[in-house]
Amino acid sequence: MLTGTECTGATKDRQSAKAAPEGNRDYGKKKSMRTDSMSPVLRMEGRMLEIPQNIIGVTADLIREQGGLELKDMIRNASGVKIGYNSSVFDASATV
Amino acid sequence: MRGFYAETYVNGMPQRSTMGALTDDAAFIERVDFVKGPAGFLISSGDPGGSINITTKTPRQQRVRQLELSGGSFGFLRGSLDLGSAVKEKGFSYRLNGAYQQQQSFQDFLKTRKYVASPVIQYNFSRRTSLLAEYNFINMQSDGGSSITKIGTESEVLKDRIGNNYAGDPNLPQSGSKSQSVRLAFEHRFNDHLRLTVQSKYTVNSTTVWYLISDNYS
Repeated sequence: MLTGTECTGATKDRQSAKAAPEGNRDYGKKKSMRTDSMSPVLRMEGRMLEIPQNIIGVTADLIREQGGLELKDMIRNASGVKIGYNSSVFDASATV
Repeated sequence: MRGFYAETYVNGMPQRSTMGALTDDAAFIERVDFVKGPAGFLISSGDPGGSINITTKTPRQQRVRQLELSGGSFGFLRGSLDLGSAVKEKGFSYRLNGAYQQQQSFQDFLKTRKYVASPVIQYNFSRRTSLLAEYNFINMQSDGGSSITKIGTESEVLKDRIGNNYAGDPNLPQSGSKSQSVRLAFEHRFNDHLRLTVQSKYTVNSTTVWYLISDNYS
């Protein structure tokens, strides 16, 4: 099974800690960009596959490899999500 | 998202304004989750289309040491730093993120700078209980204007070179957007199935915007 989980220390996500002790950082091992653990923000734990909701998780490791800098770069990884046109150079990134 | 507007949350709390650089930098984003469709059981409020949820960087299970330098076209320069200690069973751990970025634009005159800092400190009372304090600072500055606006009639806009359609000026005062927020979070895990999280956040934003308005705007 591929596990591209992120371990956020604050939450001590048991599942992800067990499944991927090195996270995505270990370049020697087989690596996956997929995320299958729930974010602690979403109040539920466990595998995304077992949650009855369509959720796409994008981790900082994936963003770094893509060279992403802002939210609009991260949104490109999620289907069905688009950023509206924003003329401000401060890019408040309204999403539609 | 899915044809509807989607609210953005940071660590489960709404944080976004229509203007400003609110927590919009990779330097303090640990992950972003896109929840599609209504989901009251995950986030108590939300839109029919779904929600976007940013989790900020906090101490990890492993130590983090990372320095990144990047450059690109239009005078793009960026340096970022990510330092963090591993979470202890009992005691303090930290995470420190900072970034500086500057970039010019395909439009004339425009030059933006961004400063980001995010120190986080966490204290674990035990394996199950922790208290976390986080501070986020992001400051974006822009010289030569603050918005990319095409002015003039449609035929003029299409005919001119693209840089000329920008309503900016090198003598405009500096525009800026600054956001600071402090978060305190307490977490206790009763058992494998039940977790209590109490958190609170205070945010201050200030924005100054300078731009030109043309008389013959039509």
